[in-house]
This record gives sequence, structure tokens and C-alpha cells, in this order.
Amino acid sequence: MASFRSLKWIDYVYYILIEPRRFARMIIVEDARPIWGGALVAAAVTVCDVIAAGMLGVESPFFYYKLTYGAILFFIVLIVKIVVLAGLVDLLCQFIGYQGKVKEFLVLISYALFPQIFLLPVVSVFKVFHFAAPFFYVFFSIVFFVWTALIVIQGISELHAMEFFRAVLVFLFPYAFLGILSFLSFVLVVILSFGYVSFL
Amino acid sequence: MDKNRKILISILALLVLSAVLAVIDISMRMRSVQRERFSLAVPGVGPGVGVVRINGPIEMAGSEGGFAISSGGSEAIIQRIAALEADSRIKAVVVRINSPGGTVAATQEIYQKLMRLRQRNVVLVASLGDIAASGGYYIASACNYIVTNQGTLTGSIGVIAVSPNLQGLFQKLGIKMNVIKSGAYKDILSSYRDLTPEERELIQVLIDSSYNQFLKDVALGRNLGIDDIRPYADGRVMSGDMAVKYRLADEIGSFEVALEKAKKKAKLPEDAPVYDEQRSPLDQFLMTLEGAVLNRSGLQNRVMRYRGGYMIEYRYQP
Repeated sequence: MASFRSLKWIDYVYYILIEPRRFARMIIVEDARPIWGGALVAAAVTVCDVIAAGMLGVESPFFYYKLTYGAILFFIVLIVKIVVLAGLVDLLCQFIGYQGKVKEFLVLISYALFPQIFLLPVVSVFKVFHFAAPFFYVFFSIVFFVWTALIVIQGISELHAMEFFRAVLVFLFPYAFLGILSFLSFVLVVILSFGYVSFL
Repeated sequence: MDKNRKILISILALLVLSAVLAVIDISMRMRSVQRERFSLAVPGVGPGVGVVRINGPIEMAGSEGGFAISSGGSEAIIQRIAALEADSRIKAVVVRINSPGGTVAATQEIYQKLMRLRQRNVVLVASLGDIAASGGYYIASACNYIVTNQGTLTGSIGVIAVSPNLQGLFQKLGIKMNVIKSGAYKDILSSYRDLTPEERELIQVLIDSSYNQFLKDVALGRNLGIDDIRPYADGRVMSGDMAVKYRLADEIGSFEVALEKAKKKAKLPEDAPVYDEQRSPLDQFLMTLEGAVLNRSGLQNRVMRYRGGYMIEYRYQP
């Protein structure tokens, strides 16, 4: 409660949006203490995303289930994504000779999701004016993802005193790794399905 | 509090406000749409009519789908009848039949199960579809009342055992079978040799036994004498109106007529609920997928037509 009243969390939000490198330096100094704030950011992103998606069409009363139980499920999925991403980034960093900093990466990535909260007010504006809200939902989803990516890349660069382009490669590694893994799994499923169908 | 903090708190407050407004907006649109487009669908409750569907050849196990979805099979049908029997809401059952018949034991099991239900004073009405011949009709005869379409193919009261004689072909191809058997009749009805007169007589005894049981059960179900049925029980198929004429059916009508008749006979109101068989959306999806795969590869025909060896059947085989 005392840390909430101190409004330190406002500083975290400010720096993650404006000065990601300074935020990275802060979490090194504070030994990744704002980790629960990161979980709150992830929860806020989940709720805002569910509401923004709900604004695009006409919802049934099932919307309330999506906003409650559905949001809890999406939140858990998002947390798993953050953990996997942080784990893979740290794995690669250690592989290429840097120190392990998985706690810092967890805080960095979860706070870096903050720009995605802005998706809700942006979509609301286009919805109010009845102007291609679904298109701008997709468009700004990409824009805010790029913003998140830039925050994470700058954070990685700062945490390990790494060159920017090297940090870009480190950030892309989990996506490439999971992409290749998914592709190979898909190929395996297709082969097994064809095998099973031809066996019938 | 410095300026940056104030600005950020204002932004966060606006974000929360926009979220609340968005939820209110969604809720308001949701309600107005509900009034215009949706009506409350009330599921069936209270005493009503159950439906049992018998489609395709009747066999004990039925066809096990490639995606682990079993379709048909006398065991599945008996389970369905047992479920209706255990349901206190079921006062009448409509048995929808669209089958050319099938194996003797499977048909008899379904017949017995329906008769048991009938003895518990549940009204049974059969509704015949495209075809309810041989074993299909056998099952229908267990019902109190039979409603048939005019164009339904029914009748075909009789028993059949078919086995190909490929002896000539084997000789032509120079194929000889090595058979070591424990008794003279162990390879009876084998496709690689002719049937001996003794074997023919033996099979005929089996056929006659099953045929007599068929006649007895139909006579019992229809409240007729065996001699009333025998003149038409020579394997002939007949249309729905001929079946009514020979007292093998009671009325010409559709499935809806059968439902109305069941409600009337069970003294149920006209709007009494109908409890039809239901499959989960996942089962329906898997069955559609399975059907598409089997149809495309032509597997379905092969699966349906192949039989290892012979069978004695209550089946109409054109």
C-alpha cells in the first residue's frame, strides 16, 4: 500500500512509455521488484483487449462470460506467453555469453505490454464515428505490438549493454524458434492425418 | 506531485473511463438487439414422445467411424431404447425405420427390447421411411401401430443366406485350398466348392427356423394369426398401401403423422415435447468429416459391401 501511495508505479509506466532504457536501468537497481505491477499490466491489457474486440460486433450476453472467465483464461495464456518469451530470450542471451537475467526480462516484457492498453480508446473513437473500426483494430494492434517490441528491444540492449541490432535478433529469436517449431508440428500432424486416413 | 505524474494519472483515469463506457455501450446494444432478433427458446420439459432412429443395415456392432464415432449398430439402438425406458417423461416412442434389415440376432434383440417397452404400457408407433423391409419390418412389427409412407418399400418377410460359389473361377486360375477340418460341415458355404445336398438341407433347417420365428414374432406384434401373414410372407416386397391392405401396416402417413398418433394414443397434449436423439456438435463435426473422407475415397461403399464369409439375415437384397 505504501509503495502504491508513493506513486512509484506511475514512474514505471512513464519510463516504460517514454524512456525504456531508463526503465531497464531502474529494474536492475531495484532487483526486479515491480514484478507484481507487471502482472497488473498484463491483466489490464487482457481486459482492454476483450472489451475492444467486443466493440467490433454485436455481442450476446455471452460477452459477460468473456469479460470475466474468458479474461481470466486469456490472462493466464498471456502470462504463459510472457514467461516463455522471457525464458527463451534469457536462454539465448546466456548461450551467447551474457549473464542470466530472467527476472528482469519478465518485468520488462510484462511492462512493455502497456502500449496495448491504448487499443481500447483508439478503437472506441473509430467505433463512435462508425469509421472502419475492425480495420483500425487490426492496424493499431500491429502498431502497438511494434511499440511493445521496440520497448523490449531497447530494454534488452540496456540490460546487457548490447548493440541495438543484436538486441533485435535476440528479440526475434523466440518468434523464429516457436514459428519453426509450430511449422514442424503442423507438418507432422498433416503427415499423421494423411497416414491415418489412408489406413482407414 | 510533478507534472508528468499528473498527466499520466489523468491518462490512466481516461483509460478506465473509456473501458467503463465501452462496456456500457456493448451492454446497451446487446439488449436492444435481444429484443429485436432473439426469442427465448425453451427446452422441452414434461411428459412427451421419444424418438428412436434405425438407419441402414442392422448389425450388432454397427460401423465404428474412423474418428471413433460409432454409428448405428443394434447395441447403440438398444442403449437408446433403454435410455427412453428409464426416462419417466417418456409416455410414447416413435421408432423411425429406414433399413433393409440385417443380421438375425441383432434384429431379434431390438425386437425384444421394443416388446419389453410395449409390455410396460409405453405406446410404440413405427414410422417407415424409404425402406423398412425384412428385418426393418420385423422391428416395426413390435410396435402397437405402424405408419408407412405410400412409397415405402416394406414387407420382404423372409430369411436369406448368400455365399458366392467361386469353384469354377478357382479351377480356372489353378487355385486349390488346403482345408483341415474337425467335422464334415466345418467349411459349410465355403466359396471354393459346391454345396452338398446334406449341407443345403442343414442350412435350410437354419433358415426355416429363423423364418418361423420371424412369422411368430410378426403375428404376435400385429395381433394376427400366423396363417393370416403366411400368404404374403414369401419374401415379396410391397409398397405402403399394399402393406396396409394386407394388414401389415395401419395407416399411410409421414413421420409427423406418426408423432401425432403417438401423442394421441398416449393421451398427451398436441404440444407435448418430442425427445429426439441428439449428438454433440463435436460428434456432428467429426461425422461430417468422416463422411467426406469416406465418400471422397470411395471407402464407404467398400466398407459397407465387404463381408468376410456368409451370414444368415433378415435382409432385403435386390
